[in-house]
Amino acid sequence: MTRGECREIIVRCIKEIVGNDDLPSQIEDDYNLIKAGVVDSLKFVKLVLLIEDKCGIKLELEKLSNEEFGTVRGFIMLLAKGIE
Amino acid sequence: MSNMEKYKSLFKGFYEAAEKYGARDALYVDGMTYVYEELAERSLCWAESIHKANENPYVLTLGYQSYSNYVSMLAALGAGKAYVPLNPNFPKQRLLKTMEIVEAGTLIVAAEGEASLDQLLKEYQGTLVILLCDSDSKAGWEGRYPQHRWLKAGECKYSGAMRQAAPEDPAYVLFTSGSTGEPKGIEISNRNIYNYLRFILAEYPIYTEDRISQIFDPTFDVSVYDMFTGWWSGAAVYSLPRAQRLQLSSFVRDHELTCWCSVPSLANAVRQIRLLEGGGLKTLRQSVFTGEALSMNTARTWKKAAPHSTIINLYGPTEVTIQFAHFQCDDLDKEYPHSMMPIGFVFPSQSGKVMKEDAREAEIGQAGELYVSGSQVSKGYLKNREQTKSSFVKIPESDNLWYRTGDLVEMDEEGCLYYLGRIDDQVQINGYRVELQEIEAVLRRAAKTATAVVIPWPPERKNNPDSVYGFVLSGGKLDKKKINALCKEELPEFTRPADIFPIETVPINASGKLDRKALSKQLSELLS
Repeated sequence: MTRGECREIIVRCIKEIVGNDDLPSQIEDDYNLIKAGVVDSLKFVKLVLLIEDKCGIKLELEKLSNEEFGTVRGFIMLLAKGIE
Repeated sequence: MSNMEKYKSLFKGFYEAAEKYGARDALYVDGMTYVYEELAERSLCWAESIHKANENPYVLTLGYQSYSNYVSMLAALGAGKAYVPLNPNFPKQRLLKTMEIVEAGTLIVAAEGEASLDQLLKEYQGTLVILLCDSDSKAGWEGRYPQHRWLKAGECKYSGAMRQAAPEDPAYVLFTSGSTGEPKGIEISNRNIYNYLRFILAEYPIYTEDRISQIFDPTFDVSVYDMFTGWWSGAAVYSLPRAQRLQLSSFVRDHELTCWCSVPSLANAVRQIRLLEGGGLKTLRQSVFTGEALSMNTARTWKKAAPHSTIINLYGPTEVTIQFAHFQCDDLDKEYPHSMMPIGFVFPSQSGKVMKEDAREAEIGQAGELYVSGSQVSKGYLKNREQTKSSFVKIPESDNLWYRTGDLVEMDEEGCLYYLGRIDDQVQINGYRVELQEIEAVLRRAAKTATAVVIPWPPERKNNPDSVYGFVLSGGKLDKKKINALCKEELPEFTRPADIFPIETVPINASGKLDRKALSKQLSELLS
């Protein structure tokens, strides 16, 4: 899976959990879902489980730095790593 | 009070620690650390202006998780008044209702509250003295809202005076949602909170070397535990940013926290995404769980992550000043009824009684409503005599006022209390009285899960439903056949769930508790 494909899956999952209304029209890599306030702890957990379910992998969230946690980039990194 | 000479107001306890430990860290918030001397001086400086502003005993504090917001609460107390926290993230109508009930004389606004302030003042009818914590200029505000008197933090002058509130003076007022939809204001006096802190600090001491988590929103009374067990003891209080809650392990590790306090749900959420892996919370020596029932599974998972920590379950409603029963669980392998940790023993300074519906005391092992009386019990709801009268009652053979918790409990021979559920959550199916919690306990065991929730159907007759449905926390597929077989063994037919659905997460409401309404909605969608 290419980085672009990983990104596509992540964005689709984010849209499914958050809904289009609360999201910016263009979701950048450094968009932080938690800081933007569009997911609370519960929705974040849901999102992680959804991505894991769709891709059949486990995301190693503990590998992320504080800056990466909650960002689109962070998810892409973990997904790409998990698929390797 | 028996030890009148020892009484100190909520602020005085902080002030004494500040005098003793001035150069030690008192507060970490927003990436900055503040020492006791700085925190005490700043709050006394603002307190001086607040004291002079008017005679009204209530001070609204609008803000969230900022240095200014913490100082606001201390400043209100330092002026000998009570703080009433307003969280700018709450719905505006809820905040306005709070303001209308309290009729406060003063409002302190931190930077993060200014956007809401504009909206609130457009509708609020009362007159206030408003202290802007973080604004350089007040001219714009004065121009738009000339009916209020505006102050800037920079204008406040420190006089060195420390005002100690009297025991019956209110220390804080917190609001809880009432069954009628009108929020109920619970007023806690300095005497109430003094009695609470005296017991809790004797039983579970905090030391000057401790670094304590501060997670609870100021509108939730456990925040008073977080802040003031720390500040009365000369310890450092660490405000965990909302955005970083799920990374609690790295926050604890980075700041070497020694004491933890949260709702069990947070521990559960973190466990689900595997951020609570073994041993990660090594620095913790004490972990307090409170605000909702603590399952043994959650306690065990936490203990694996925090091997050097004690696990303490504290129980109580806001009306009885944070908590009034406690249980330290040292043997986590032990099986407790319903796989839940007991809520434990009523503080020896308070009295608890398990009462049956006929107003007689329940026998050992018999279920009943928990009543409590003592120095921690609030005088009642602010300007709401009717609700006060129905919740704070007299009982036969006692001159005291007793608060009805609405919680269904049972007591064992040793006086240990076990939580069974809400008295108002009771349902009747086909005329049979059913405790939802009982079904949930069976489901938890049958599905080997930490959380199971039972929702009555149809939702418009939740006290008198046709059937109940089960939701079970589960990562994968459920073995319904096996679960049903186990339920059959333990539950009478009419109490068995009509169907069981797996859920990956448990919905939580604004106050951090299980959101039954959300699950009920989910059920409607599933069945439609």
